[in-house]
Amino acid sequence: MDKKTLIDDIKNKLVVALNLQGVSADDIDENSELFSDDGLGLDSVDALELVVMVEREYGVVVDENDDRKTTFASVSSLADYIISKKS
Amino acid sequence: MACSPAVVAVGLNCSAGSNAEESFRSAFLGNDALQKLSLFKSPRHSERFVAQADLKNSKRLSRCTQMLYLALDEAFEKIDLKQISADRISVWLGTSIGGIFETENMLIESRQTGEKNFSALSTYECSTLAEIVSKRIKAKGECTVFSTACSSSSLAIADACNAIVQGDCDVAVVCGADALSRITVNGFGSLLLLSDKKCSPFDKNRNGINLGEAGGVMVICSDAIVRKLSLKPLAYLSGWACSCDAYHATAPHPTGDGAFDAFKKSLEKSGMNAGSITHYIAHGTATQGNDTSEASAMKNFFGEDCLPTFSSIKRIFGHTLGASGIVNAILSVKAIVSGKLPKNSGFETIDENIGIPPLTESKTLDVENILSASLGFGGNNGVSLFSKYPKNIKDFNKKRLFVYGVSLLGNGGIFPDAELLKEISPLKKRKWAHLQKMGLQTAKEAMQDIVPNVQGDKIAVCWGTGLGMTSQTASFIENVIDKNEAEPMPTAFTNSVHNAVSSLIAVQSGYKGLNSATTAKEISFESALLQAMREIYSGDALASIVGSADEYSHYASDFLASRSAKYSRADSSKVSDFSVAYFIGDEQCCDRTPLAEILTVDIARRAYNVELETNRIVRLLKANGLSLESISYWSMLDCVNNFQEKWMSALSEKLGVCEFAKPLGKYGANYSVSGASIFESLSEKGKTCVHYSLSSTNMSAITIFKVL
Repeated sequence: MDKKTLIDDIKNKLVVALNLQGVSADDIDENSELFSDDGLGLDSVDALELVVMVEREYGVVVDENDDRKTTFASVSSLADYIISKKS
Repeated sequence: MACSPAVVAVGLNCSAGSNAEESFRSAFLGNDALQKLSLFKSPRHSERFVAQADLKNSKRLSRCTQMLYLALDEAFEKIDLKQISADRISVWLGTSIGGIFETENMLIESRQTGEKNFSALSTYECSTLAEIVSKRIKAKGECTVFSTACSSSSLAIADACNAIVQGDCDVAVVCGADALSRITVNGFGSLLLLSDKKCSPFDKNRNGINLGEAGGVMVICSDAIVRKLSLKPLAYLSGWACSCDAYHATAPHPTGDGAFDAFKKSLEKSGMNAGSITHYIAHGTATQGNDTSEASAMKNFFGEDCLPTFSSIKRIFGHTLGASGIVNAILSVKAIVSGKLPKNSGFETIDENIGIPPLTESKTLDVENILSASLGFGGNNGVSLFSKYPKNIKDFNKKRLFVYGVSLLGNGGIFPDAELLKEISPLKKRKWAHLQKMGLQTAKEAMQDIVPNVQGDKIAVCWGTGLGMTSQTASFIENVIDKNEAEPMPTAFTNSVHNAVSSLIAVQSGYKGLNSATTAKEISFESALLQAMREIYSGDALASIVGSADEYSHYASDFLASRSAKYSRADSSKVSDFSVAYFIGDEQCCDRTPLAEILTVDIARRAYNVELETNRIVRLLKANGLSLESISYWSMLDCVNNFQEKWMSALSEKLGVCEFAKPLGKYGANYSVSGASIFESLSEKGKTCVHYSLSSTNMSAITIFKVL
């Protein structure tokens, strides 16, 4: 899966995993900050839901010691993380 | 001025000891009994350390019940309360999840056999534990459970002290209990809050919690009873207070502002200053968030000059969740009696973000005053202050209390989730569970057009519930069982606590006073109302949101069906959604014209016969300057069985009341509907009303109010 396809896939799965009601995958900018109020305004519990989602959907176990703030900063950085773990 | 309530006996059963003395010695010596999790099969967490108590594998008694029985036997070995009238002895109990471990076992069994055996759901009802205690010690006073996650038993201590000082009971048997379970292990695991080692509270390299289990009991008496029975108190409660961060569902306030408020209010009870605190027994769970926030509260409150020594005992006892408040309290009392301070086991390296080291070596000295804290989910804080010598407690004021706003959601059926809180964007409310939305909607509506004249820290939120967040709890446990712990559900776990509703109301409204979740079957609402009234009388709050909510779930329905066959006439097809909220407060709390005045609420085990119950009602009326003749409106909770029907008809005959109004059946089968009584009576302007609720476990609640 190339990065562009992965990004679209992540967006769709994000909407379901975080129950982002009223938000469609197309509304999410892959470069905007997920955890800032200008972005989706996610919080620390959402970050944990993301960890579960990444493991379930992509078979990538998130290392507890990785800095989740950078890994999950945006959809784009998350895609990079998944690609790097898969390779 | 009242004299501080006295602790006359304690009992404790946990991993660190089979009694309070043994447990205290373990803490003093730093001997932990942590072991790898073996209570149940856990593919994900079998390497975690837990503090598991040495209990029997009993089909009959839940782990919580076993620990409580042992603790009760210990506490009551040394005191004799036979001279005290049973109706002056009340029970308070704090637990976050009660006997859920046994409920999990039952669910697993039912998955394997395909048989539905939902009777074991009764152990999920947290109120069951307090009733077990009340029956064991033959108490006849009120019997209330607080379920506010990790602060539960500290809230129980605080309300019990208010009740003693305000004359609502002579003896308070305050308990705390929680057992290890799949939901807590997987829940804290899903939040990445469990350590992979033995825990290190306040240490730079701390990385989370070790879970534990405990059952503890503390018998607290009024000063008058101490003198009457020539009891020798172990210590005195010279302060207690509760507060809410109103910040986040799980994370504590970063600088511990809520804990700071609770410290302040607790010391104000007896006018003590920060410099007089000898030692602080911390909540200290060894998570990054808690320890940093708690240390910040300590530094801000005490300042560098008055900073007492402090220690967390979580390395020895594990985090016993709802029992952690009573564990801390019992250790505080033992420290005062023995003149010994337990060290903070597990600490090695100072954390520069914290900047202050805990007590690293246990020591012996004259211990006068110990502050003990519990800081839980929902930013829920409970603090108790124990002293060697009695103090004068500041006066309470049984001031007039009014209802200013009300809202009710209930039609006997189930509410479509999309209909709730329509004005809030779907994105904002995406993580709120159905019951939370019902509660928040009614709370917001009850506050509509009301601008309180008081600051948020003087407004409490007291919220009742019979079954709590059943849907969230069930989906979490089913997921753990069916997927064999493979896919954690962090959001569902944070929403599974009974105080999920009250903490959401606090976060959304900024109300930072006492934030509680009471549970007492059909009289959960009255329990919440009574606690709110005492908090306002104490002066710690001036107003409160008071409400109660329960939801439809197929488990609630199946549970009722399993009981119906034998005992109950309640129709399981009528299990419903219901939520009610009131805004109550003193005369000055807002500029609204009040709808009603609440005169009194009284909760006790129902009397042996209707003559005695009638006498109780007449006494209560008399105390409020009323007689039977002055009551023009009676209402009651619907009867759920034949006994109740007979009781109510005999009682109405004895009281000379032709008929109780029966307005509540239309709201369906739901533990919270007794909360509709005031709402239902509001058209009876000028009338003085009595509402009588009889619970399925024979507790009765009498609410007297006047419609204005």
